Amino acid sequence: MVTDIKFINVSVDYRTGPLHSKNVLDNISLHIKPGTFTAVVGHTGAGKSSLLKTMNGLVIPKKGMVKIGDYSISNQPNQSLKNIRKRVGMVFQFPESQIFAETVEKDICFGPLNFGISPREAKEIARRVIKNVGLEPSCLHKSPFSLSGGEKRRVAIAGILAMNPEVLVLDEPGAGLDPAGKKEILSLLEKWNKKYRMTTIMVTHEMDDVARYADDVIVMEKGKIVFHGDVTSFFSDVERIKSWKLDLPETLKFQLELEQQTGIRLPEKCLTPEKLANALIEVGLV
Amino acid sequence: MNKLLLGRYIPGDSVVHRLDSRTKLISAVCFIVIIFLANHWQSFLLLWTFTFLTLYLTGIPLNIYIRGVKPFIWLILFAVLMQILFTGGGEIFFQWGPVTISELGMINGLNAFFRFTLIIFISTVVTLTTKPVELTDAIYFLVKPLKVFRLPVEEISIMLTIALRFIPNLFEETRKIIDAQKARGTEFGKGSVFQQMKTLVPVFLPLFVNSLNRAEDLANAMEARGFRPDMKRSSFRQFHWKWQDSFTIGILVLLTASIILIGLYE
Amino acid sequence: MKESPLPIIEVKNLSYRYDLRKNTDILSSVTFSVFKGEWLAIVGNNGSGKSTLARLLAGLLTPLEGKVFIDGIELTEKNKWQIRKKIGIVFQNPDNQFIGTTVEDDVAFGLENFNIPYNEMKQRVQEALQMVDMLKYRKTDPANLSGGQKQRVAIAGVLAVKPEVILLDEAFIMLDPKSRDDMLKTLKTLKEKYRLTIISITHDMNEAASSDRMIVLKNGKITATGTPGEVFSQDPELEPPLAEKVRRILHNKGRNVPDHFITEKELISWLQTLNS
Repeated sequence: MVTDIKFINVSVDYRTGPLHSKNVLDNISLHIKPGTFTAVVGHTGAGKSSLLKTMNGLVIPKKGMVKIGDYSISNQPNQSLKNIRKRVGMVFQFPESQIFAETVEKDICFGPLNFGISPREAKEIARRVIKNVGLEPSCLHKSPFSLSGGEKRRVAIAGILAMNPEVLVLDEPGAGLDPAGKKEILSLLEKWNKKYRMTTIMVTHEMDDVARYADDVIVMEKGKIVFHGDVTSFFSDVERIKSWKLDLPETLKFQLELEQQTGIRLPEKCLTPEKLANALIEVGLV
Repeated sequence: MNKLLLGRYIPGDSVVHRLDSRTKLISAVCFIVIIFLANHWQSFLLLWTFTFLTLYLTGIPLNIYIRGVKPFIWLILFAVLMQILFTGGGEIFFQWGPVTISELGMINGLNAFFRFTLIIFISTVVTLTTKPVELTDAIYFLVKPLKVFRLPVEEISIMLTIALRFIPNLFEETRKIIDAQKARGTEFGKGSVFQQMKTLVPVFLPLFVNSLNRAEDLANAMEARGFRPDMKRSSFRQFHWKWQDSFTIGILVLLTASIILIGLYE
Repeated sequence: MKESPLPIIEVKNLSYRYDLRKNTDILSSVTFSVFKGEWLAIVGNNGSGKSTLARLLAGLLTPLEGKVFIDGIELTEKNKWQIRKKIGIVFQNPDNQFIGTTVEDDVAFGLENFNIPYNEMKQRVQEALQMVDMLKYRKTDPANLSGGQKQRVAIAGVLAVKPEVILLDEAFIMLDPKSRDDMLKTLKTLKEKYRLTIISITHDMNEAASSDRMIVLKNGKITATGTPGEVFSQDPELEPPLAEKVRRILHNKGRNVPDHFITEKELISWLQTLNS
């Protein structure tokens, strides 16, 4: 089942202890197409995390409505969020810090059991998803705390995949990992997105990841969405990206430096070293 | 706003904020003692005047203090009621079995009400206007003499300071883990007590593990930066005793003397 | 790079093992020197022994075999407290090394430990915060700082003690790319200005490529050492920085490119000569 996400005039207040922030999401309307890989970018405090939490029903909109496929969340008492949470898998930043069970298997089964799957079936799911995240089934009986940081993160993500979500939302899934570990996780996300057409939404600060993995980009500023479109059109206007005070992918940054210093003009915006090499050949330089 | 005000600091630059934390701590303790010496309406008038003057000087709106009393309201009413119903003496207005409503009972009830609210007001003043770490410093200073009894005062003080530093992190992390387990289908606050207890395991266990990891990192960082528990350290946070502090202590001495005198001669 | 004859750090045949019952060394017979005023990058995968090396250099672990000399003095259990004035570490987690309740308290922590008198401490804290451009935040508490700002404070805390060597133990890995760049720029400037010696344990190949010298660790052993140019040409497994990647792609396509390691600057000026 391929699921889309709709926000209709959604406003959200946020409250933690003494802090009460009004309109962390400010009248947002949005349609995320089914099966797309969307990157959410913006400054700290722009509302990226709140946007993700609203998709999972962890934050309830004060106005407007969120639709996940056929299910909806709005400001009304006694709505069942279980249907939403089952469909939207949420991977928090540093998800390994939520692991608690004494074996990897038990931790992965936690979600499915909460949603009423039988223990036998849950164990089967665990065997399947552990392979999906690139770990050996033999580690199911190990203590999760004996694994390395990158492995722990994959176990945590497996625990979300085990709930068989239709939508996967992730808050900086690569944060704090070394480049190899990060690449592995992001490639897995890409694979699931393409293979199972799992709608994927990822908050990130790394523009190189946006360039490499995402189909669409959402830019947030002060609780509003200031851009929502495909990656090509996002990177086509460098001045606009700078005006949002966002970074550029490494290759594009280098290309601009090169063009500025040498007066060479390349035919397109290059987001990968391969593209840059090809563009240099195309203009007949090398 | 969180209900419990005690223990929360509100930044500001009032006279009270700027007082030495030792002055505030000693004065508060002294004030609480004399509250219990007070027995006459003149004494309470003095205490209330002093309290309201202090509240005014903090520059923090009165309704915040009143909100600070609210969580204790049932406790206060209970104490007042006990006094009214079960102490006798003076003119008796009503009697039914052991229940007596008398003149003395009414007076005692009123006194109990005054004492409770005054204590809450004055302690709230201290915590609202003093950074927790400054309070720790003051406590450290006051219990320093106990080192003679081989009490590890310095270690306890640095422990308290670090605990204060990491409380916000702990709250933040708890909230995050609760959210994460909710997203995995946990429903908090539903079902029997036993079921509710069970939902807490996936919250407290990771919290515990993370805290241990954090403690190890912290210990490494402290050691790498040259921390040795058994060595003499200098202190960056200094006390600055000003004339305002001497003045405050002076006022408190006067206040104490007046309360004692009123008690003796009325 | 100017090398003074005496190295500031000498590591000789250093070995370490967490589990003495097992025969696998985390580090085995590692030998290298660090010279005053250089930026040395130590790279390697997870499990290569990089972080263990950092802890050994700071005396947080005791070597199984081998010796560490800092400024000519052998690091021992007895003198490690004195030697810690000479080497300051910035760890990877911004939160878990922030000890003070405010920025200035945190910077002062190391100075307090070395029993520096108040007046000197006050001045050194101010200077250190100025160096990392955090002076205006001196009264701020850590909950109101970003990860990048906390790492700046951590660097100030190290600078305030005026060590001979600053050791960065994957100090930028938790930061977003922009804060990482800003932090590197600040450190490079400070390094030139005050002739600091920096050892950076890192995964970031761009950072390593901009260092003076590199060491590659694999399974507890040094497999390559030299200038970034030498190391990246020696070790084909090492993911090269962008300019070198482009050069290799062009080379593989049979284009006529320089046959050695190339930096971004060199690539630009080479293209410029082609263009004119």
